Amino acid sequence: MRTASLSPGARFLGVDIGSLTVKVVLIGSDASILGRAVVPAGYGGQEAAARLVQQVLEGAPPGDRVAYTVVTGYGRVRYAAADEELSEISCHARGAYHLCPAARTVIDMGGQDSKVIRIDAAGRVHDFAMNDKCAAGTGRFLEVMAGALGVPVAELGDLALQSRGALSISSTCTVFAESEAISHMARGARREDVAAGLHQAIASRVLGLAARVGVEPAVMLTGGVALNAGLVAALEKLGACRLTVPLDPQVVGALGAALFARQKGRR
Amino acid sequence: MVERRYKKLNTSAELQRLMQWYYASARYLRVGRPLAWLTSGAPVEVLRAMGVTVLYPENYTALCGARREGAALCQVAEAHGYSQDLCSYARTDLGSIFDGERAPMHGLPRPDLLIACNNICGTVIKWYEAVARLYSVPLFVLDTPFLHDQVSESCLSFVVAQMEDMVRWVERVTGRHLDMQRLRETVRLANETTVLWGEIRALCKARPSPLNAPDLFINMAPIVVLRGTRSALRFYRHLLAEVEQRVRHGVGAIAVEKRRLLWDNIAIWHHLYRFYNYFVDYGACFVVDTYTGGWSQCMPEGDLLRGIAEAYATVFLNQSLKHRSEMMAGLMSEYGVDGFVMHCNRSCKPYSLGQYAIRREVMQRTGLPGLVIEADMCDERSYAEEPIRTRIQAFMESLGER
Amino acid sequence: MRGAMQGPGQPTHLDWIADPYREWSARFPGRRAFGYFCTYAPLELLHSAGFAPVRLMQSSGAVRLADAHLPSFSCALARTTTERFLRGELDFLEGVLFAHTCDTLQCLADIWRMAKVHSQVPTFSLPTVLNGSASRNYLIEELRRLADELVVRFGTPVTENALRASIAVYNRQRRLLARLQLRVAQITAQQMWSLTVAGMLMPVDEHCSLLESLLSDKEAGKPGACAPGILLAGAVLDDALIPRLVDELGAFVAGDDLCTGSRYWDVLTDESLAGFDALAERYLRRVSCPAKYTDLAERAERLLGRVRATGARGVVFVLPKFCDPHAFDYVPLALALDREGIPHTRLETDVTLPAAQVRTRLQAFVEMLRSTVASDLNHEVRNDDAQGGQEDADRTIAQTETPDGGRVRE
Repeated sequence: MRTASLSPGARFLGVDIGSLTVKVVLIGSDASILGRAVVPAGYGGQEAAARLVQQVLEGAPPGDRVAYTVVTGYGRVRYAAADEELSEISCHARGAYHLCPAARTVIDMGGQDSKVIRIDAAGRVHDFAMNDKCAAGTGRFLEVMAGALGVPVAELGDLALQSRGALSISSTCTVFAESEAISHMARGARREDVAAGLHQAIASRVLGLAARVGVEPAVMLTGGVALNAGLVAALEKLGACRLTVPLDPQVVGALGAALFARQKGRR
Repeated sequence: MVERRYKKLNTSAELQRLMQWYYASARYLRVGRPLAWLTSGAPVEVLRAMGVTVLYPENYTALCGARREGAALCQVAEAHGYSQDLCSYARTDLGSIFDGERAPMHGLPRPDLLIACNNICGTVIKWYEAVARLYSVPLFVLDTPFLHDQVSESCLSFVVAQMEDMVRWVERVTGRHLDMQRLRETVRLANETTVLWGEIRALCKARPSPLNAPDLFINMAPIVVLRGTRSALRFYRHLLAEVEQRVRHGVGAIAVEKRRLLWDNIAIWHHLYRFYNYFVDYGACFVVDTYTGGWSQCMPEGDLLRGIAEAYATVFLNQSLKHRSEMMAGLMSEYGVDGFVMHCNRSCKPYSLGQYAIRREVMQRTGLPGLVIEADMCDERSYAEEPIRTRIQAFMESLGER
Repeated sequence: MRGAMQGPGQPTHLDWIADPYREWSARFPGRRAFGYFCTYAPLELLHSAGFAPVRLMQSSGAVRLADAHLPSFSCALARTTTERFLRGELDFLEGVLFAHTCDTLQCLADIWRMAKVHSQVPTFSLPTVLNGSASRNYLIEELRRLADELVVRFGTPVTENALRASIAVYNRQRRLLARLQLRVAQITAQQMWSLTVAGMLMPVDEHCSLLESLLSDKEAGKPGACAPGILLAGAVLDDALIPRLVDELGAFVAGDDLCTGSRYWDVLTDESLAGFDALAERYLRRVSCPAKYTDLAERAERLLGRVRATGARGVVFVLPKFCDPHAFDYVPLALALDREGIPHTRLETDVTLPAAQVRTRLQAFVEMLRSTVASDLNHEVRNDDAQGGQEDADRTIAQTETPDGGRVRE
C-alpha cells in the first residue's frame, strides 16, 4: 500500500529535549541530514529548544516549510510546537536502525539515564530496559568522577586508556564510588588507573542493565557518553562484544524523531 | 592477605578437613543415596535418620561470600531478571546454578529433593521455588507460623501434622523408610552436639573471652550442616577441650581485652577478618552473638515429631521482636558486655527490619550503647568502607569515655 | 494516594480517595473503622464484629519519623503507613489487623506494637502453605482465635448469623466489581481504578450502593479496535498515575492481576457453608499471591489466562521496590509470557513515583505495542529508505565490518 509521494523540498524536524542537552536534527525528503545542533538545555529545555530550532533552520539550505515535527526526550510533554511527541525509546531505536540496519541492540548512555533497546530485523522495538533511578552508568557519574580526579570530562576516557592496571571500584552507588576513587588517590594511586577502574564500574553497570533484555549483535552505542573512548574500550572488553559507534552519537534520538516526522508527515 | 588479629584455634585444621569432607562426600561418596538441599532451619534429623544426604545452600553461599565471589554470582542472577534488592544468599545460589563454571567448587551437586522451612524467613520459600523450577525436582515447604505471641497448641498441631506429611513425602520421593528408632538416635546425637555447642559458647563468659565472633561464625558450620552426625559431635568435643584449656590458662582470643561486645545478625562474610580487626584495634572482643546461638535448642524427647516440631517452630527468628529484645538483653547481662553492634543486613529483612526497635528497647533495659552498621552478608558491593570505619571509631571512642 | 484527583471524567464524589484517612470519621459517621493491609485479612469477620474495614495503602509525603523505625530497604507501603501511624493520622482506627503475608509486614506488626505500646494491633497468623493437609483446620482455628481476641479487646462478639450476613455483603461487592470490569469500554482506566480502590477504603454497603447505581445505567460494550489493551500485573496499585497515563496514551486497561484489583474480588465465598468454614475455604481457594505457597505453576497459569480472557496485547508489571515475593515471581512470570510471545515491561514503584519517568516507560511500551500492529507502515518506510539510500545502507553495513572497530560513517 503506497502512500502519497513527497515533494523533494519537504523537510522534517526532530527535537530531543534531554535533561542536560537539547538536540535538533532537520532532514529532507530523502532522509538526508540538512542540519543538526546540540546545546545545553538550561532550565526546562523549552527555551533552548525553541532557539535551537530557529538556529538550525536558519543555518540549513533553503527549502520548504517544515512539514512535520516530532519531539522526544524528557522535556517533550511541555513542548507545544511539535506535531507529535514520541518516547525516546522509539526514537533512539529508529535513529540507530537508520544508521545501521544491522543493529539489534542499542545502548544509549545519556546525561541522567541509560537505556538498552532491542530491535528486530524490521527496526521495531522488541524490548527495552531503563535505568533512570540512579546516576551510576550515566554521564552524570562521569562528571562527578572527572571532578574527583581533577580532569575535564572530555579527557577522562583518554586518561583511562593510559592505565596500566585498573583499580577496582566495587560500590554500585555514585557517592560511594567517588569516595572509593578519592581513597585510592589519597593512597597514591595513579589517576589513570583510578579512571580505568571507574570506567570498568560504569561498563559493568550498563552491561548489567543490558543483560535484562539480552545483548544481540550488532550492538550500537549512542549518547554523548559514546564519545568517551575509554568507556567504549571498557564496554567492549567486559562485554566481549564489538560496539558500533556513530560519528555523531548524541543526535541519534533527534534523528529518529525526524525520521518518524518524515514517515508521519507524508500522509 | 588479611592477617587474623586474634588467636588461631588448633582445631581449625580439623574443622577445615571436616568441611571439605562434608562437601566432597555429598558430591562423590553418596553411592546411590538421594541428595536433599535444605534450609538452615529445616528439621534435618528426619533426613539423616533416613540416610538421605543433605547439603545447605546457605552455608555454600556464605562460603562464596567469604571468598568474595558473592557479587559476581549475584550479577549472574541479576542478568536473569532477579532484582538486586533480593537476598544475596538467594542470588548467589541461583547465580551458581545458572553459571556453575564461575562458582566455587563449580556449584553444588544437583539435588533430588528440596525442603524449605520458613522459620527463618519467607524468602527461602521463593528461593527454593526458583530452584525447584530450574531443576524440576520436588519441593516440600514446612510452614511454621510466625509467633507474635506465645506458641499455641493449634500452631504446634499444625506443624506436627506437616511433619507427618513431610515424612510420608520424603518416603515417597526417595523410596526410603523412616525408622523411629533411628530417628530417636539421631535426635539424641543432635541434642548432644547442641549441648556441646552451647557449652563452648558459654565459656566466652570468661574474662578474657577465649573466642571472638569470627571464631563463632566459622565454627558454627558443623552444627548447621552436620547436626545429627558423629563427626560433628567428635569435632565439638575437641573444640570444647581446646576452649576449656584456653579458659584454664586465661588465654584470650585477642591480645588485650579492654571491651566486651555483643554482635547481632549474620556475619559480614566478605569482610570477616578485616571488619572485626577494626574492633581489635580498640581491644574489643565480640564475646557473644545472637546468630550462632540459633542452634542451641534441644528437641524434647518423648513424642519425637512433636519435639522436633516444637524446637523448629520456636527458633529465635520465628519469635517476636519483643522476645528477641529480651533475649539480647539477657545475653548482654550474662556475658558482661559493654555494648552491642548490630549488622543491618540488607539481605535479611526478618533479622534487620526490627533492629531499630530492638536497639531502642535493649538500650533502655541495659543502659548500654548500641551501634548499627549497614552492609550485606554476601554481596560485597554493598559495603562502604569509609563510613563504616568512621562509625566504628566514633562508637569505640564513646565507649572509651565510659 | 497522590494522583487520584487529576484527569477528566473523575467521579468527583470519590475525590477523597487521594487522601482517604483524613476526616474519614466525618465522612462516614457512626462507623467503627478497623485498618488492614492485605487481601488475606478476613474482612467478613471484622465486618461481622461491627467494624468497617479500611485498607491501609501507601501514601505520598515525606517519610521522616519512620526512618527511626525502619531501615531504608523497606517497601514504601511499610514506610509511608508507619509515617502516618507515628504522626497519629491513623488514630481514627480502632485497631489495625496484620494478617501474615510477607517478612516486612511480619516485622511491622511488632515494630508498631513496640512503637506505640497502647495501640491495638491484633495479628492473624494464616498459614503460608495453603494446600497442605492441615492448612484448612489450622486456618479455621486461627479464625476462631481471632474472633475470640476481638471479643476480648473490643467486646464485639461474632455470631454465626452476623458472619453469614457479612459474607453475603462482601460477595455482593465482589459480584459488582466483576460486573464493573465488563464496562471497560465505557469508563476510563482512572475511573475503573478509583471505583475499585474506593471499595477498600469505604464501608462496604455504601460502596455496593455506589456501584449499583453506576452499573444500572451503563451498558457493556467493546473498546476501540486500534487501542492496545494492557494487563496490569503486580501488587498494590495505590495511585491513579498509571491508569491515568494509560488513558492519556490512548491505550486501555483490559484487565488486571493485582492485589487491589481482580485478586480482591475474584472467587466468591461459598454461602452454603457455615461461616468459619466458608471463610477458610475462600482464603485457601482464592487466587493466591506471591507471599503464599500453593504450587509452582499456578500464578503463571493465572496470568496467561487473564491475558487470553481479556485479549490484552501486553502486560505491564507494577512492582514495589523492596517487595521480595513479587520480585521473585516476576522471573517465571516473565518467562511464561516470553514463551507465549506476549510483550511485557516492568515499572518499579517506590515512595515517590516520578511521573515523567513512568510516562516515558509506559509510552515506549504502548508505542512498541502499536508498532507491531502498524508493521505495514514500518515495512513501507524501510522500503522507501532502501530505495533512496540503499547505497548508504550498504556502506553503513560494510563499515561496521571494518577492522578498526566499526565506526559508522553517515
